[in-house]
Amino acid sequence: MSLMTTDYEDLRRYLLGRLPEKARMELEERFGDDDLFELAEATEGELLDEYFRGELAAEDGKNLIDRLSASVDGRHRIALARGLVAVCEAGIADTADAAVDIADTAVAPPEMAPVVPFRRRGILARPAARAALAAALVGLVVAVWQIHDRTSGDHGKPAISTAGRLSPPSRPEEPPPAKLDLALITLRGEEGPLPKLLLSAEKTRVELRLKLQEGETYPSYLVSIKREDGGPAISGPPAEPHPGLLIVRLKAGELPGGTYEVEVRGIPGKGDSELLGTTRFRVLR
Amino acid sequence: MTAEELQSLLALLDPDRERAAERYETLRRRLIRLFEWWGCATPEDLTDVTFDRVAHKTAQQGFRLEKPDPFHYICTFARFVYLEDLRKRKEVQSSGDEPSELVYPVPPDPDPPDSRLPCFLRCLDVLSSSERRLLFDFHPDLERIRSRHQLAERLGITDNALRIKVHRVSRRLKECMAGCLKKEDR
Repeated sequence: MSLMTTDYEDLRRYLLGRLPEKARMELEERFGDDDLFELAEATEGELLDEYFRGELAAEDGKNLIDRLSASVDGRHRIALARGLVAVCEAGIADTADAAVDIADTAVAPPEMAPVVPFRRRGILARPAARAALAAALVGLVVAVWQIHDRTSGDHGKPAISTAGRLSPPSRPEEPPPAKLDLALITLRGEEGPLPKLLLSAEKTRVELRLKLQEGETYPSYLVSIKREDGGPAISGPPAEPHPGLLIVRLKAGELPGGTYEVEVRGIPGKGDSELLGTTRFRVLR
Repeated sequence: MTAEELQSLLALLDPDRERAAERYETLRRRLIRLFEWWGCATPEDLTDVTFDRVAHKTAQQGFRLEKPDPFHYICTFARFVYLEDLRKRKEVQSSGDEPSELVYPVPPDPDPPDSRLPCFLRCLDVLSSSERRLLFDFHPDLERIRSRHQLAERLGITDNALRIKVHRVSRRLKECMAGCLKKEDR
């Protein structure tokens, strides 16, 4: 394999139109190399996947889509990537959520359940929705193949033998949330370019994904978000801790266009909260 | 392209004619993709123009490749072809024949999720169980980068080798889905 360790990052920048000209030309001249070219195709696939999951910065996404959508084949790849993400989000995400909820319900009765203050809620908190998802779970492919794989191993036999038996999962009408990854700034002068969140009219939900420093494991966190121009602050939105990551879910309507400051504090079991970092982002509508 | 020019082009790619023909197809596909990445509307036509010019040049007396990799040489021609195309497009725009900003709308999603899901499920069947696991392990919701690195370590390969491996599997899945959706349309 003739790949260099920096190739993947260079290819990302190349496909997003961010690689300087000299480096761009050098990279292109190496596309005769099978491995590098395949990695370039793989990287394009990843970027499209990120774009349709709302994980790519708006400007990057626009650069990528503008160029690819100029050609017929590029448009097909875009449509297919969008389709795959839609299918994955309809099937796999719901299955995973439902599976987690059902497992939780089964092992821990409500009165004995450990207090998890920032656990993901929303539609799954409603018993009816939970029941509907549980029903949908029965026919879903991922669960089927995962169970099959775990129990029978790989015999080259298809895990799902009859697609006709499987019914599409019930899918919420809402579009997937707009997602934005944010790094917390802990030192003055560390701030890079301002991340941008492009909110189209169809987006109803926003997911801010705040990257935590390694080893930060507070029992809970307090997040406050305020507009730089002094608009009303959003204080204490639900924040779910995951390893290395804090996810804050908001309604898109709570974020009019403008620049926002985010402050994250860790709340220890005892004592005062501790400032973990701040960050900023801009909402474009 | 004349027969003589074609011969010279193939000779540039490989001394063996069969292998040269295969190499031609491979490089053609790469050039098409390159023109797509450059935002060209007609990548296949521009690729043909590029090969025509390279073939014409290689048929000239005394032609000698400076670097061993012919793609490097072909790429230089492709860049000129691209720049010419870009200039033409700008001229068309400034002449007022086309809107001042070229807008290529992404077509509306042709396949509603309901028709895609059965195809998706059917096509997962095409993959082996280990390939399916690889795909789903590669696309976890959270901690993506770290978990991918761990996955690569577990498989004893580099991160880039993992990406290529997953790309090959997803390419098969996509090809299968495209075929399946076509059948569903009929």
